[in-house]
Amino acid sequence: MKNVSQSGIIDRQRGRQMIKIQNLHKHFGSLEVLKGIDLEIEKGEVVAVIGSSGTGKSTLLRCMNYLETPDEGRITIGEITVTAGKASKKEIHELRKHSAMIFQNFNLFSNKDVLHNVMEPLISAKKMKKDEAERIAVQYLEKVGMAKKLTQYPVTLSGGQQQRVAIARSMATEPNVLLFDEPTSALDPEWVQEVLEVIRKLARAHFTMIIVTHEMQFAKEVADRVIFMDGGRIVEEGPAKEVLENPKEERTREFLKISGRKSADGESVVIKKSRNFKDMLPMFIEAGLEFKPDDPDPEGLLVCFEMLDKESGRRIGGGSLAKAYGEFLIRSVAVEEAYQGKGLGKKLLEYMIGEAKEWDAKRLLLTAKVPGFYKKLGFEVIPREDAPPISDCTSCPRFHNGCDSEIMRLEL
Amino acid sequence: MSLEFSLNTLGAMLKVLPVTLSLTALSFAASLVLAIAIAVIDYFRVPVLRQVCAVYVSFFRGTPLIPQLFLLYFGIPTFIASLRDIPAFTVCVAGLTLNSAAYMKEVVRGSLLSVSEGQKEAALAHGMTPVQTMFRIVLPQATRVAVPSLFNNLVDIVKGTSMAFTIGVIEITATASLRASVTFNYFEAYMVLMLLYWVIILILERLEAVVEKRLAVGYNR
Repeated sequence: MKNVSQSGIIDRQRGRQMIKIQNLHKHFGSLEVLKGIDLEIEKGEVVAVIGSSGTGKSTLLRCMNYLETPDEGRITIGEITVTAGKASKKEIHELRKHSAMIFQNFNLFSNKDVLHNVMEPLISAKKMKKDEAERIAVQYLEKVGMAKKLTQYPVTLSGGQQQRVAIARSMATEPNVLLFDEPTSALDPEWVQEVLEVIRKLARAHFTMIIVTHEMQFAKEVADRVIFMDGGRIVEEGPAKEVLENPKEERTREFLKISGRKSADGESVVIKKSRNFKDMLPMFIEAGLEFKPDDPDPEGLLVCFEMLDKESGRRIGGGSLAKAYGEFLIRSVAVEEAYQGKGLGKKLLEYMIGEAKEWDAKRLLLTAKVPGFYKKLGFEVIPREDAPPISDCTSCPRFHNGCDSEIMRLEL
Repeated sequence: MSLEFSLNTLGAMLKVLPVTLSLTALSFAASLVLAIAIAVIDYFRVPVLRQVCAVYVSFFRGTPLIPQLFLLYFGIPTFIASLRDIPAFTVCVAGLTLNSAAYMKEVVRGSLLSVSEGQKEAALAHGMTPVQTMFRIVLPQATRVAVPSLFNNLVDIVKGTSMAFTIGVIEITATASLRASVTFNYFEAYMVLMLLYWVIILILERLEAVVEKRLAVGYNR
């Protein structure tokens, strides 16, 4: 932690200007991709850039570290300013040292294992001694939950794991700003969430970040400011909630309508099995279940079912299966409000019943405040006195009788 | 068939085998260095040098090895007197180097291009210089891609050393043909010679398998 707080990236003096872009232009041949971008970003600010494909979002990001050479304009990051057309190789190199980029395709070095991927820029760009670089690399890999895979090579990792390593590689160089170029677009839906989780953490720690993304929900959640780009220009910018919920510009409204329509039907979700009950708590709370953020796992937890939006990878519902006192129990089933009424609850429960059968369950018990839903799936309400000693209270991790729900049973 | 002659010839060839092997080793090492240098010049599009290299590659790929050796050994010293005392062995190394580097340059260039653009961008975007990116990211990965083809070039060089006898270097081919022409045992002499080349190359093939296996670390799931 010490290292992070020493770097320039953490929010020590929030409000100080960190990035300034003036009148940035970029052509690809005769096509003008950036038509004069002006942008200021403060230290500790998280900015999401949204817009359709081909509107210059990625090009803007790539001009900021000169992976694309801008034709006109000025870029300032921290204390270094580069003027397009007049930049020397040395200045470009300096500019690049002030930022770090996370790519859509991760771009880990395939000739190096996880540890050396993170160490490489520290050794060659920051001139660190090997042992110091290793210490820092391990520290950042711990932050993204990859410290157990130090000696694995990229080819053996899932997309989500590769992207987490890539984030650690960028963070470890302690840049002034992290540039995310569609960090989850190339990921299978099941890996999106773990990457977003890492970025959320960074956002909470107020790393200065610019995130080009197609995930509106995520942008709303983590960004302080949202920038909507169209046709090489910034069309609208403002606080995330404002731009995404009440856009002023017609074009922004149009874009949000189109991107909203694609998600949220039954075919656009996947169910992933895990043991991450704690990670599901915020979603359960959001969906109205009586949990507290630091509640322990349910007693006898077997497996969690996380329902993920295929497009954004966001957790939109879930439940868990437990076995305690010889009984198989379904605990805490929920689907977020915005996704209700689409048969997702039924889909989730059918999946869970199927899973219970694989565990050789003879019957399933659950407690419900709204028994009607479960009746449709074949559950019946049983009298309290016939019930085994299980809780009918979703907020108690220990099973007991005494709260105000119905106890329901399904014979398998 | 004379077994005794065959064994004697083999003995004589083994005595000069170090000449063949050192010709091979020196030429291969030098041509690899030269090929990488030209490929890197090409890769970074260095003006002037790049065009000069292109002409060299085209000329040495477009002409046979024996005239190249003759030109170097007999031709050039007629103009430059100071080159007259250079031993045939050295000229032969130079000729083989210039000849095979012209081929190996394309192998090296192709393998450099095989490294994904994204990884180079990632290196640059994390503050590495283009030269660091080349030596620490691109070349190590390109090596793995280039090795099978480079072993092909190495095999060609081994066989190319047999041309050395045309400018008077006594190596295994020269030994075989001298003994054959004295005793008329052509079949035995050349058969033993060819078997010896074959054995050398079989050993190189085994070596290649080992090297490829080593380099594959990290690329297999």
